[in-house]
Amino acid sequence: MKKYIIVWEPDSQKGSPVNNALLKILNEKQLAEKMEIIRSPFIGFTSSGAILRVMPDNLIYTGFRVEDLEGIVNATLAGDRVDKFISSYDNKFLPVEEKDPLSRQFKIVLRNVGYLDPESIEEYISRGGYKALEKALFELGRDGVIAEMKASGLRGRGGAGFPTGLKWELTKKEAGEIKYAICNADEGDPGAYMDRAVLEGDPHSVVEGMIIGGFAVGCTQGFVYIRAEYPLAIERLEKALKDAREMGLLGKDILGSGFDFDIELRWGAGAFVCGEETALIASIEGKRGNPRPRPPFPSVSGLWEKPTFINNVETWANVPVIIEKGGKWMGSIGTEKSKGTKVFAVTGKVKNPGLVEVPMGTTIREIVYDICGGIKDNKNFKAVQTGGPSGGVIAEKYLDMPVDYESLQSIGSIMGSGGLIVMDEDDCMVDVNKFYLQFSVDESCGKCMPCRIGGKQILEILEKISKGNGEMTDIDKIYSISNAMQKASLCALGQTTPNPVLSSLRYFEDEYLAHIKDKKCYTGKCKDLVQYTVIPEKCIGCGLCATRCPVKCITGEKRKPYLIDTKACIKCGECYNVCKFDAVKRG
Amino acid sequence: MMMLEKQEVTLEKGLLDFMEKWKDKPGKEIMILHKIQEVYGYVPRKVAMEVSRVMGIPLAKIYGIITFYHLFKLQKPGKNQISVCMGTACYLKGGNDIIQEIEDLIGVAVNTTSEDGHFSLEVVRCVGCCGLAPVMSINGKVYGNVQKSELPKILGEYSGKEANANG
Amino acid sequence: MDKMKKGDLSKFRKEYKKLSGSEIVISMGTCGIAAGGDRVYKIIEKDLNDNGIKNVIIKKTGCLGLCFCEPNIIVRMEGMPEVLYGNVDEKTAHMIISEHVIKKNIVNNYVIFMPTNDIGKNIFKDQGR
Ligand SMILES: Cc1cc2nc3c(=O)[nH]c(=O)nc-3n(C[C@H](O)[C@H](O)[C@H](O)COP(=O)(O)O)c2cc1C
Ligand code: SF4
Ligand code: SF4
Ligand code: SF4
Ligand code: FES
Repeated sequence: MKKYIIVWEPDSQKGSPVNNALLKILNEKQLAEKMEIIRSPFIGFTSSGAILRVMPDNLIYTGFRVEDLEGIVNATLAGDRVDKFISSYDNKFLPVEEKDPLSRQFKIVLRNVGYLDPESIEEYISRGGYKALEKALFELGRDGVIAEMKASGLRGRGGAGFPTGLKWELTKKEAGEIKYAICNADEGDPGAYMDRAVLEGDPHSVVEGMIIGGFAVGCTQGFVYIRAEYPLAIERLEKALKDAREMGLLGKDILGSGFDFDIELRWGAGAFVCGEETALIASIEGKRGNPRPRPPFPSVSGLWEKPTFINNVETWANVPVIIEKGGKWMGSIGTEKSKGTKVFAVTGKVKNPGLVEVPMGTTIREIVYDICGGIKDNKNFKAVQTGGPSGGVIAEKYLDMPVDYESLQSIGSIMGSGGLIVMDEDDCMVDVNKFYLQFSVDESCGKCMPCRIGGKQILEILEKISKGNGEMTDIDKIYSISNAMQKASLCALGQTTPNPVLSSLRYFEDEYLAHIKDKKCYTGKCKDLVQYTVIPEKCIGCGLCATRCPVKCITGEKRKPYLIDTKACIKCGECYNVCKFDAVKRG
Repeated sequence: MMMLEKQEVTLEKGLLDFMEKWKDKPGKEIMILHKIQEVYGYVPRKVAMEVSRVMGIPLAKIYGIITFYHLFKLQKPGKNQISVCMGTACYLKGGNDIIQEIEDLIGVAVNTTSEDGHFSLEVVRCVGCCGLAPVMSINGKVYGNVQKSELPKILGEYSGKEANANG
Repeated sequence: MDKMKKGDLSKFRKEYKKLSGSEIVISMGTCGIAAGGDRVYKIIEKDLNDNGIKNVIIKKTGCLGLCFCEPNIIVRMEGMPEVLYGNVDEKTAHMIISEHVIKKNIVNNYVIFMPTNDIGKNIFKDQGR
């Protein structure tokens, strides 16, 4: 078979020396028949130097010099390899036999996503789908399933991290004939789409997980509460349910076992609070989605007052793998208290935004830099935010923090559902927190005072600070309002609304102080606190800024310093961005 | 879509069938409202009243739900619905600028409809394509990595045309 | 399809044969479609048809997670390594058929370095393809 060498070279390496050298070798040795060189503009992880992938041998070379290429070509032709340049990514969190030398990712939840046809139940089955269901029904039995779930150490992926096996056991123990299983597919965290990817890419994994859960706990009916904003996920899930029913995997007498279980969809309608489990239940019941106090917990009195257990999409998608491979297997991946993997939607100012699934314990640095390529446009890292509007920021000094529930909590953030938003030097903490607060205020259901009024008050303080009217006492006010909200709000929405502000105050207090004391926003995001001026010594008078300014408030003569009319300037920052000579000052 | 105004309260067939299918299911209210909005583009008052009468759901309950959930509309939207994402990823990547540019281009403010009823503009929280931020959608078709400079072209595709049925 | 009973699943897996060894898999989640995946799908479908190619099947799949270079396509041709293309525009879509599928030449400059067997890594080694 013909050999292919795929070449990736960093942009900084001008003129593609590796690619050209390889082509030259091919030419000299007249190898065009036997070997092909393919240039690749994209790479799924970071590398400081050029990197080669030899196909079909599937070898990866790094750390070589141009002089070494001939040796690599010769070895490749001979079906051999040059060991000293073979790359090895060491993934310390995987059990040995599953170690993947080529990347830091490890896909359990996303095992089929992007690989099989989500509309084909045949493909899902052919890749081992519904094997776990069969094992659960005929081998493990109800207690066996729960034992495996507990052994796996799986914790809820929807945010709170409650042990899944225990939740199932508690619901199973409740008296009563009728119980319900619910899948929480409301994915409300703005900037996160893990659940959408799973539902669109592998709906059967969730369906199979739910059937197994329903069997273990003793339910006959399950519901998927899904965002109406995800029409494609709804369509594919409906198809999956229909196909499973036709094959006897869902509905009456599943696989001839005598167990009956069916699943229906209920659509959300754009209320973030309905991701909260008691609000979600109210919404399925066809009511306004107001949370209610717990206890009673849903496991005791949930949907239509029956014992109910709710798990997140990603939690459900883990279930078939746990049942099939065994709880012990899952327990061998990850850290002591956080087992298995976590899917993150990495977005914001990162070079390669996307979905990644990594073993628990992987560091934030590995996710942001090694997998997603680092910060876009060579800007400086500022922070990542996990947990969205209920979470917090992770500052640079914690980049090497491993992701697990406890570590993240210890630094004032949370695991959250998996949104990981990367911010760079251009993002202003006051501005970003205004965004989160506005979100929480919009989404507060208004049922209880601390949340309804407190959120609004913090937002007003932030607005005041960003306009340059902040006072030092405002910071204290934020703390005391936050305290009241955390203590007295009825549900987790209100209790966690202050989190983003508090965590940013913890790590970026100086930015708040710059706004309050110096009346400056160095990122230019708070428009009242920034001025753009031309530095005459640096300006060469090219006139580019003047042509780009949307309000035409920059004037000047070619080759002489230009001038910004600060009164007319709308502070869009365009001049600052386009000037090639750093002659526009922001401050 | 336009039929309704003339026929007043005769409910559309698809909606009636849907109501029939759901009438005995507990928790049907929200699903029926979704169906109404799918058929009419919003929840017209007369339809809400008729549904309330036929299904025996108190009108107050229906309005309680509509006002609670952001997705339900009481006003008739424009023929083409522009939704700009303002989730976190899109916010950081300049979603605001996109909104402003659209407002300038077609003269519609957020949550309003243009005078000719051709466009309406709304802000949504995350359509789940954050990797392509900033994101917007028109009549359900999603556009990713939107640049301000592309907007005239994108909007141009819709000016003069009727809305897609699936709007 | 008849309803399955205990043991039928493993029989099904044994009998389930691929229509062809060669396939083109297009990433078509919401984001893939937004980036132009549906357009690419139509072009590839048409080009396969126009060229009378019957032994290559075309398949939709979900989001690979590589949002930075959507639309992505995996091409698996018999006797060639599996290749993942990114940022596939209309021109590349045509070339994937005319070059890769017909002439068996990989289309330069659109290949994603990241190995595909890592992306769709089948953790159930014994049952996979
Ligand atoms: C305001 C709020 C929003 C929430 N949104 C979601 C959500 O979108 N998806 C989700 O799975 N869980 C969400 N949760 C967490 C759920 O209440 C619940 O803990 C979770 O669905 C349980 O499943 P798990 O144990 O599998 O994580 C939210 C909680 C709160 C307080
Ligand atoms: S904390 Fe907020 S969202 Fe929760 S019940 Fe109170 S007002 Fe509603
Ligand atoms: S772009 Fe920079 S160098 Fe050119 S005129 Fe403007 S400020 Fe001066
Ligand atoms: S910030 Fe914008 S408006 Fe102000 S001078 Fe620069 S380009 Fe013009
Ligand atoms: S934040 Fe805009 S699509 Fe998610």
